[in-house]
Amino acid sequence: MEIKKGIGVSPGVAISTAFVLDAEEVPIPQRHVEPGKLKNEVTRLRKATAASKAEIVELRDRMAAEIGQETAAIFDFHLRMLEDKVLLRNLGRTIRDKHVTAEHAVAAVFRDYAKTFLAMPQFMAERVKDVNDIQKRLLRNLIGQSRQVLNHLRRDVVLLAHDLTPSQTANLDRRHILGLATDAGGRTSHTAIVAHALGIPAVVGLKDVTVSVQPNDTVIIDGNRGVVIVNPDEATLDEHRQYVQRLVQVERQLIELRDLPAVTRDGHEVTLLGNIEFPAEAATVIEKGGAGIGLYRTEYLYLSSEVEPTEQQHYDAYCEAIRLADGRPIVIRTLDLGADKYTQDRALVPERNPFLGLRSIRYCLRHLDAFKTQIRAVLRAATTGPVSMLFPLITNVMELRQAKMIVRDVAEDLEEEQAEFIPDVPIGMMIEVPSAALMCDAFAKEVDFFSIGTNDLVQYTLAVDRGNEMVAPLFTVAHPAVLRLIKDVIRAGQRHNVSVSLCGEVGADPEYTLLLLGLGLRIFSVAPPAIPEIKQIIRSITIEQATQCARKVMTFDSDKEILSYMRDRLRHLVPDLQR
Amino acid sequence: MKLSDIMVPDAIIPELAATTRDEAIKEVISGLAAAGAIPKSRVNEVVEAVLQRENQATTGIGKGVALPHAKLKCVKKVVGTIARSADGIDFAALDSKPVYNLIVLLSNPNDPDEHLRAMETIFKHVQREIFRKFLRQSETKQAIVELIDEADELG
Amino acid sequence: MQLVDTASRFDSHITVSNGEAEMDAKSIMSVMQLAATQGTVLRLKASGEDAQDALEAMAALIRSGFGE
Repeated sequence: MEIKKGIGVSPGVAISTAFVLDAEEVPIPQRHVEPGKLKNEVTRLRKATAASKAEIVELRDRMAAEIGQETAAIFDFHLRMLEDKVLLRNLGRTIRDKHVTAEHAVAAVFRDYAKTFLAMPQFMAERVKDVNDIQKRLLRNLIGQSRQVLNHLRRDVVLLAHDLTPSQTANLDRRHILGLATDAGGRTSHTAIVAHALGIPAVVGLKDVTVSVQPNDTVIIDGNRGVVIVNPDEATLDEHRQYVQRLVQVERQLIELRDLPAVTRDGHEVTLLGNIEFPAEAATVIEKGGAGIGLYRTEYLYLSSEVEPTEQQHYDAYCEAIRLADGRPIVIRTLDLGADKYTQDRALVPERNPFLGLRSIRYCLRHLDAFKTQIRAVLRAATTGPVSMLFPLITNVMELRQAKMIVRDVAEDLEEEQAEFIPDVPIGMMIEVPSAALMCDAFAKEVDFFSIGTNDLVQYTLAVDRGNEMVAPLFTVAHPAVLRLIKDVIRAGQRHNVSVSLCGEVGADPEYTLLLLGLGLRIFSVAPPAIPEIKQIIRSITIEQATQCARKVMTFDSDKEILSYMRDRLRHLVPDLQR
Repeated sequence: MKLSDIMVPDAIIPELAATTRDEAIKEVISGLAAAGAIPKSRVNEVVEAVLQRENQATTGIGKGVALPHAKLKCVKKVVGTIARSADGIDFAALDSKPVYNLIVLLSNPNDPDEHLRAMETIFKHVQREIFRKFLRQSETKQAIVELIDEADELG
Repeated sequence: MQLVDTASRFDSHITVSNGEAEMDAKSIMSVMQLAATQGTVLRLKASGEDAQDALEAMAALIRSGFGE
């Protein structure tokens, strides 16, 4: 049994078998295969060989047409290799004699060939490159077969990986994944967001859990305590099973809260909304007692398919979310990708510092067709329910105005086409960079609402990578600088009659609710599973208490003091909050 | 796409005679027609389209720049030009300040991609403070042409 | 590669040897290991119905300098 400590970023406890993803996004194939399964491996190899050959033929024909017969000749060479009966016999024999997977056979046999060629005179040694090429291609086709597995799991598992990117999680089989654990990542890493969305426990920042676990090991993921236990002994298993029972009970109590309003003890109304990534989650938000969707992250539309989504796909997704929100307001945020495989793969030259590069709104303003497509879908979908549009990562007024100009152009186009649409959808912007927070007064004059994105705001203000587990302790909203910015933005909103919501992960953190309310925040948008708990806190306190808490907190100058004080106040004011 | 692919040098107006928004737009469109970029017989039609768009929502996006634009069938390929007003013109701009430079863009409705590429390019350069500053200071056609070339070179 | 292509046209089992190792002439991976450069003496062996034709074709190829 091995106990590993990390950061619990999504509550709950899961006990299941491990499914491990290695750093290359590839399921680690087991080395050894049961004798009964060997035939299957040989078949897999045959299929991968055929697929590789087909790829090469296509490449060769294309090259021949585009560049010339001579360059295409190299592919003939590759083809000969894959047709080589001696090689294929070798591979088959390795699988059968050594009882290994097709991948391992390929790696072993090709390694031997490479060794032989490298030991030969110069002109043959160059052929090693070709041999490696074929090996890579074969492996890719073999592993590509297993990649399907992530989409169609046949049993419940907990997923362990070095890190999880949006493109990986976009296609997860959500019915069977009970928990997540990663080596990398911090509190607002992508894993946290997905885990919240799925309502499953997650622990990140474990540093080396993927090397401590074998596929199919039993694993406990405790998102509450931030602990992962590999191959727990019987006693530990029992203890956790009972823990899960208790949690289920607490969950039931929180469900009762659903239909009660989010009003403080002294009668102040708070708007509790939900963050969603997929349309279906809108139903979950309502189920948990949310008053609407405060943030619909549209990135998944782009990540879950190989090609850019069409206007119809956008439109269908938005209409579905609106329908499930059942008349409640929904805020749709335009594409917020970058610093991510999506834009980096498509970039001619990968950016050196994607987080500070061509992302989100900047990317959109340089790719107006994609931007317009999305806006068109939003304006059209707005006829079916109360929709607002939210622009991410606005750093200066000019780009905001340009974006608004594009919205007007889209409206003009739709008007000409005589399409049904709402021309004056409310437009808001994320406050997630220091420049936007510091200039919030100027921005307040140009938008209908603000949404504070604490995840990125903390990252850019404190210069801490939110996905880097090595600096994770430095990442905190409780830093006085961040709190000051939040307070200023809320005040500016009040001054200019612009509504201010907070959609970062911190909104779901019970330890911050008092403080945020005390700073004047009245609109929270959180991951759906957190809605009942936050509502319970709101209903248990008075704004007077919240204001006092905030006043006190703003006099501290270290985040540790602040956190400790908030924890204390929470315990005091909401004693029956199950944690 | 580069700015020089869009901008018609002969139609550049370094010193607008007009003092009002509508007059300025008329002057620029006439200039484009004189340079052969659009059919002379369509000047009124084009002016009306640009003004219509302008009336729907100002293209004065602030910092002294306005981006009047329209899509018309009589426009063969995407064309544009730059005009300057030393004293500034009221465009009901979003920052309530006068507009010193008009960057006009005309395109064909059947080629939305070209229009978007052109807008992307214009946006990219207009976002740079140094481009806007130099543009405002460029008092001759030659100076504006040089600025366009420099901007294109910068990428 | 032309060696392998030519050999593959025939049904017979064909081997080529550089004096140290004997390899299946239809297997490019095997043939590559022979490291045959200009001047290497190659011995061809064929067994099967079209063995004679095979050997003649292979010999012709080698004599012609592989078309290089």
